[in-house]
Amino acid sequence: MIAPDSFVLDDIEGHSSAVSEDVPPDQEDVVREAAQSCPEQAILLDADAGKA
Amino acid sequence: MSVDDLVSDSDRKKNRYHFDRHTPEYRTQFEKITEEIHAKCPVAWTDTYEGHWVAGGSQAVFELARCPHVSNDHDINGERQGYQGISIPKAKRASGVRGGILEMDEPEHRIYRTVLNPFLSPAAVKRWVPFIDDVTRACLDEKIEVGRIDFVDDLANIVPAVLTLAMLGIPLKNWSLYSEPTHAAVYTPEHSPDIDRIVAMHRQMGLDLLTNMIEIRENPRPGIVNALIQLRIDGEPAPDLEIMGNLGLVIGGGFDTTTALTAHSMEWLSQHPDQRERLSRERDTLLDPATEEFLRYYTPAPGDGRTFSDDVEIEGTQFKEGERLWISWAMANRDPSVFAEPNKIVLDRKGNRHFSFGLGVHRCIGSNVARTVFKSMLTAVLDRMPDYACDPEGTVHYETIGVIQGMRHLPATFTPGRRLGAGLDETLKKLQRICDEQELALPITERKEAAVID
Repeated sequence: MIAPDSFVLDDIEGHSSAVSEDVPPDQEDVVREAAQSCPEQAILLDADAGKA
Repeated sequence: MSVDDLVSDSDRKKNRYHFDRHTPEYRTQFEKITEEIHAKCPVAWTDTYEGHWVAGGSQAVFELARCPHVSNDHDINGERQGYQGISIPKAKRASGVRGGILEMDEPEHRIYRTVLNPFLSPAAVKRWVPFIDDVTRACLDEKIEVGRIDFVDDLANIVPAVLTLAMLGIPLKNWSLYSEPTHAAVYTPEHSPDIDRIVAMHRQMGLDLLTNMIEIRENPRPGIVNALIQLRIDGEPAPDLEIMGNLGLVIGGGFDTTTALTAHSMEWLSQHPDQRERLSRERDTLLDPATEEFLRYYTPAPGDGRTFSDDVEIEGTQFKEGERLWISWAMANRDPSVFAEPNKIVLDRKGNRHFSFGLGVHRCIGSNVARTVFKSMLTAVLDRMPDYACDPEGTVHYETIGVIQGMRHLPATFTPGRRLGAGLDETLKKLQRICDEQELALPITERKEAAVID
C-alpha cells in the first residue's frame, strides 16, 4: 500500500477504505500518490484536502 | 440485414485493424502494434476469429471493463444469450467448461466470489507468508550447492502451485500433477503433435480434482474446495460443474501467471545487474513499486474477451448486442497518456495505475497471492543468488502470448552457496503436517493467525 496510514483494508473482502475524510498534512503527498495510482480511480481528493 | 444496416455497420467499424494476437509475430511486434493502435484507433474492429472489437487505449479499456452492458457470461448449454465467455477464439478443449466467476455475470458472480474472498483477501494471504517463504527456501536449497537453476522449472512453477493446492485443501505432494498440464495447456497450440499428451495430463488432473472433491464432501477438511461444497444457493448446493469451473479458475489463475511474471522479472534483472543491485539494496522502498512496474510491463494475462449485452455507445463507437470484444490490458499498460516512457521499466514509477489485474467487478481475485508469492521468490533469489546470470541460449519464451505472456525455461548460473534446510520433498511433508495441524486453509473469518513453521 502506498498510504498505509490513511487507508484500511477489509479483512474479508479486501476492499480499501479511507480511515478519515480529512487528510492530515503529513499524509498529503502519499494520499495524492495513492489517488494517482488507484487503477479503479476510486480515490477522489477535494481541492482543499488536508486544509479543513 | 438491409442496405442501411450494411452502410451503418461499415461506418461503425470504420476503425479497422488486422489483429491476431495468437501469431508469433504479435509477440515480436507487440510494441509496434500497440503504438499503431494507440495512435490510430483506441477501439478497432478486426475480422479475425469471426470478427471482434479490440480495445487498446487506456480510457476505452477503463470504460469497457467497467461497463454494465458488457458481459463475461459463458453460456455453455445455450440457456441464456449464448455468449462465449472470455476466450477469443473459444478454446476447443475448454468449450465444455465454464471458467468459474470469470465467466459469470451478476448476481451469480457475486455469490461465488463471496465464497472465495475470505481465502484470498490481503489479510488472508498474509497468514501464508511463512509457508510461502519455506517452499521458496526448499526450492532454492535443491539447487544452491550446484550453482545452476532453471527459474521456471525449479522455482516459479513450484511455489505458486504448492500454495494454490494448500489453499484449496488438496495434498501438497500432488503439485506436479497439476502444475505440468496447467502450464503446458497454455503454451501448447491445438495443432501441436504434443497436444494428445497434454490433454491426457489435463484429464488426469481433472480426475484428481474430482477425487478430492468427493473425498472432501464425505470428510470435510478446510480449504476452498470445502467452502464451495458447503455453499448453498437458495438452499441448494452449487452444481458440481460450477464448483469444478471455479476450482479450475483458481488453479489456472494461480499457476501460470505468477510464474510468467517472476520469470520475466528475473530475466530483466539479469540483463540489468546495476538495477538488480539497487533493487536489493533499496528493497524497503523499491520492492513494492518495482513489483507493480514488472506487473505493468510484462502483463502476464494480456487481456480478456467479453460480449456486448446491449447496443451501447462508448468513447464515440457504437457497439451492437452480441458483438465480441477483446480488452487488452497489455496494450492499455503501454498507453503514453497514462505512463510516461511506457516501453521502459522504471522501478520506482509513480502513479502506476496499471491494468494487469483487470478492472471492475472481475478484478483479479488472486492479485494479493501473486504479489506475495512473487516477492518471496524474488527477494530469496536476491539474497541467496545475488550474482545469478541467465543463459540466453537455454531461455525459452512462449511462442505466442495470446493467452499468457510466459516462459517455458529460464536457466541461470550463480556462485554456489550453502543449504539452509531440507529439500523440497521433505519440506512438503513437513508443510503438509503443519497445514493439517494448524488448519491453515481455513478462511480468514475462522482463522486469523499466521502459519508457524517449526
